[in-house]
Amino acid sequence: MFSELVISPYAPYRDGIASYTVQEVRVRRKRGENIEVLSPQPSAAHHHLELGGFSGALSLLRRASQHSRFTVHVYPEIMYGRCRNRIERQAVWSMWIRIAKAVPVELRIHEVVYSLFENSAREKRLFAKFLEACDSVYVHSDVEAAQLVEAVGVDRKNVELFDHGQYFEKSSTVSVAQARQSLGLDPNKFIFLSIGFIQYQKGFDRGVDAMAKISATAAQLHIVGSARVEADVITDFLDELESKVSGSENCHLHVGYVSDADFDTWIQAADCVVLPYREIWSSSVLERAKLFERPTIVSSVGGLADQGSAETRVISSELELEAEMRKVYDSWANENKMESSSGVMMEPNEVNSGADLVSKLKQTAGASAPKPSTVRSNSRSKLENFPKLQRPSSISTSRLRSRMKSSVLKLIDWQVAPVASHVDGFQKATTSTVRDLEQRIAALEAMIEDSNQGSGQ
Amino acid sequence: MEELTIGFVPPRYGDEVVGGAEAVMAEAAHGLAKRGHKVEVITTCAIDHYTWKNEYAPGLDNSGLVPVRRFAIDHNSNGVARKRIGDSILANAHVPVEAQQLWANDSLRSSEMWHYLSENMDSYRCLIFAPYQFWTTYACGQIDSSKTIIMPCMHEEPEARFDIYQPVLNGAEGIWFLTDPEADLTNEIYNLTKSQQIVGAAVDVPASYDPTAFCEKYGITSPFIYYAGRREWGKGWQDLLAGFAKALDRTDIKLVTSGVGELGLTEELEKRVIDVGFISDNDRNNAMAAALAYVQPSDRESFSRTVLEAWLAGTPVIANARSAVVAWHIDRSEAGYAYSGVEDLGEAIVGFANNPSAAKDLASTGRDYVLTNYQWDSILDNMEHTLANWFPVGEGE
Repeated sequence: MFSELVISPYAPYRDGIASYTVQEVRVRRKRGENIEVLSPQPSAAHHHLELGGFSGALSLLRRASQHSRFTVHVYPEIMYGRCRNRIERQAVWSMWIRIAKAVPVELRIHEVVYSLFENSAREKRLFAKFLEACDSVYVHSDVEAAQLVEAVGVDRKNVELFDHGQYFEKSSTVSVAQARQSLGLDPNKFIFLSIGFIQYQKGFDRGVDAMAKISATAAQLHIVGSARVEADVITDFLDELESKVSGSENCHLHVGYVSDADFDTWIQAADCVVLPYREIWSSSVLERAKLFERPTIVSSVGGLADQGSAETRVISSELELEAEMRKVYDSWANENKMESSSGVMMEPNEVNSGADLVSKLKQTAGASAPKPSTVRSNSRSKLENFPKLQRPSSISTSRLRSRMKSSVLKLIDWQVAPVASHVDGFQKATTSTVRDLEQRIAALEAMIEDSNQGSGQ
Repeated sequence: MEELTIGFVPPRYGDEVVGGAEAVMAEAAHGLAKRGHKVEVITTCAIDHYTWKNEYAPGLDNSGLVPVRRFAIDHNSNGVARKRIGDSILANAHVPVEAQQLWANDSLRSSEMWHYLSENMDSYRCLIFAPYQFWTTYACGQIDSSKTIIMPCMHEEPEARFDIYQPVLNGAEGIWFLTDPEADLTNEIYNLTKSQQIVGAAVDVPASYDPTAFCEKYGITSPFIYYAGRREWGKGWQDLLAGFAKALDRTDIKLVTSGVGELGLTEELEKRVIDVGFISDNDRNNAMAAALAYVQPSDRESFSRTVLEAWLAGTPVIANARSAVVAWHIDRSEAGYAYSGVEDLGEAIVGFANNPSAAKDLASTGRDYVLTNYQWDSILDNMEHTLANWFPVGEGE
């Protein structure tokens, strides 16, 4: 009997789509369905194949006759990530059309960079033709369906919705108290959680900035995750995030790979999962938060707004993130008779006189003012955002030109690399110095303020 | 309520398999089964850890005290990436996490075993995986970490610090250590926030020894030092030969070795090294008793059962001081000498060979050390105690 071939990243490879596929394959195989898995990355899949280029797609075509169906989890690396130029991508799309004609193909679209098609009508046509040749095309939300229709021009009725969490199962069954105990978290704190791969697009730094502004004394933000790949851009972002967190008393960064069970234990332990993504299509973390019925705050990017539940608050800016974090915290603080994010909880009929009211409000204003040490200066912001000195890319539209550029770069690398490294080091040292100065200034300001209060001024 | 099955998951299992961790797993499985627990071994069809060739038949074998469920190994990767990345590991170079994943996958791998466990976790009370660096532990040990015990068998080596093992060890519900130094090292590298216990391991005590029978069987007529195990770089075999070569001119002693792997002898060494190949446990015990000293050249030991077997047989040990565990055993038992470097090993061999009475005397405390610390009754008590606490019968059933 021919088996269905699921083409996807797969465990133990650390990846959201891998985790998604593992859960679906487990459930369906347990039901007796004949399924095998092919993965482009090292994994427990039955088969491995390097995908993302022409040769990978050709090899898949050769396997088509051995299977009853292909279910393809679509994201850039698996479809065209190894292509060197548009011509090769077009050849890949043509090959996928042939695959879809040779065997029924079900697409689960997780991620497609539609800007690929902006300057190439031919590539867009080929992609649309591929979608038409498929047996079924699924996305996870209406927003993603609308984006697909707009970008590629396919008929909306041919794009179906697939519940992201349909096959999700809990990997941890511990109670909230057990979860907090096992993670060493304070049972009396309000826990915001940002979890997943740490990279700029995930926007976890925005949560730290918001925490600095809401002054929620009984709240903590825990950022849990690791870098998926070792790349300068990710390492630099992680360094910046570490630096930012180190300047905050109530933000904590836990860098490292966590097991599936620990991942779910973190979600169980959290009061609110914060996903201030800058870029995403749909989110497995949001789906897991829903599985545990945890309130979430998510950015209005990709299909997140659609994907959320009644417990999901959608934000469109840093200000809204701050406001929503403040609201969920205040609601908890009021329920638990804790200080609200404004620093002072006003009970009904708590004050009797106008003077008391003014006094209380002044306290409120003082508590909600941002602490000097947690406010990042404009000068440091400029320094930190100053782009890293990049080597020029060797990629060109012509393969010959690319090779020539690459050769030249290799020839001059021994001279250029030390300079680039020196400039980057200088930038880091300068940023660090400014950060130290800011902290010293903040400490001095606090001393002056204490001294003024002590002298009754 | 019926007890769920305790699963032991070694990469290899069977009478022909050579390997310390595999032996501990097999004996623990049998020991717990004899105490009335429902135990099963889940393993591959391989015997040889160089080729990982499928030699046993796949499927469930219920013929023994402990049922064995075997899965075929996938031979659909060529090992080129593992060799290339392995060279970087040997050179102590930085290995990025992507390369670590590739390295772990490009060797022993059984997708059928992984899927069986993924789909049948409900049938097991818990699963015990060892040693840490094999794919069976790395991949299958992450399927349901809440039901997982890792027996890492860890020692200092670059792989011990790989990122890919962080979720395996940090996530596991429990860790079984064999010795204190292993627990210290693992806690230094990993963030183990869940349960852990030094359960130890044990060696069987032979009813008697017949050293003469061994010498007669293999035609050995002069004093010898002995090494049993895998003859490979990772076990310090080349260092043993180099140290032994330095002693050749000053003593007539021979080196007898048993086990698997290429010897790689020079012409000079060929006259003095006797390879008896893969031998029975009984022959190995007799060889231990017949030897002037047992040599343990490996610096990558997490328990070192052969050292304990030598002491049981009344034979002193010459061992590599770079192995924290073996140095710890020698320090506590005072029944051997821990050498530092090849020159020192050569001197030790000469010293032992020229002073056989003193060597015998040195071994006198070794047997008591093993009998006091490494007997199955107390080890199985430790294991049962942790199982009862970490995976109470009835929970989740």
